[in-house]
Amino acid sequence: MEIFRQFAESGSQNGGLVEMLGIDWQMLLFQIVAFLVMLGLLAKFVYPWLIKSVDDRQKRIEDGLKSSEKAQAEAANAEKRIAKLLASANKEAGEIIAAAKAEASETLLATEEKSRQLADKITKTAREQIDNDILIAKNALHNEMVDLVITATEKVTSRIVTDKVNNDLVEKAVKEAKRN
Amino acid sequence: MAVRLSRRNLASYYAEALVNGTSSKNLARELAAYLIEAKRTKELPLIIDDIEHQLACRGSLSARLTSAHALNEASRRSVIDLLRHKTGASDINIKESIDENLLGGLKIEFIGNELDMTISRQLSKLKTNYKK
Repeated sequence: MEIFRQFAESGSQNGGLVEMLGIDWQMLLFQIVAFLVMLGLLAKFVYPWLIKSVDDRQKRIEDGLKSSEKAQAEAANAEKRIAKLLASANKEAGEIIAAAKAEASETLLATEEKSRQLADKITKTAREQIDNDILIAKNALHNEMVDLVITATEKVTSRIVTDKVNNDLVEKAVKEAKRN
Repeated sequence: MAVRLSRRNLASYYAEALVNGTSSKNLARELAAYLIEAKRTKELPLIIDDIEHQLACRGSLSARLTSAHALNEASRRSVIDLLRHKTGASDINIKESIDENLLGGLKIEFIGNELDMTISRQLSKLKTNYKK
């Protein structure tokens, strides 16, 4: 309060206050003009450039942010696509494996069936061969019996047939031939 | 170079000559000479068959009898009778031979024919019929 009172008292003495404060009106005016000139110069040359620079930087920053957001969005999309592809690939792989298993199972069944048929065929052929061999053996035995009987008959006949018997046979044969 | 004659003509000629009484020895010599010159010796069996056939046509038959035992006169006459009946030949000439393998009965061969009335043939037929 004391300080305000002192300033108030010194105010009444205008020239004395300004001098007391050490203010030079000419210098003040000059400084004001200089300030205004500098302000004008700054406003004309510096501020636009500065503002432009700031604006450009701002724009770059905004562009960068936009690019970053875009990239992020694209990365998110790419991730989604990849996830989708992976899911699809997994599904396909699962299907292929299932199909391969089914095919393998079918092939195994078919092979088993073929093997069974082949075994049956071999068995059947073997049985037929055996039956055939038995028949051949039976026929061979039969034929051998016939040969033996004929041989025995020849031996017996050669002893039985005498000249007289032979002549009787010839007579009978000639009579038979005449009838025919 | 000998003229090529057909077998029929040759057979006819020689059969006629035999029937007429020409010596069979001379005929045989003549035939042999011809066949050698004409290089037809391989045809001899066929020519002989043809001659026999021609002789049969002229009523003269040659037959071969084969039996396991010798035939008696009655059997021989029966056979000649049979041949006369079968062929109509008036002059029948028989050649007999023995083959014990025939066992019994008789086999007659004449001009490309054969009458087999032997036991061995019958046994052979039995064997064929019964064999499997």
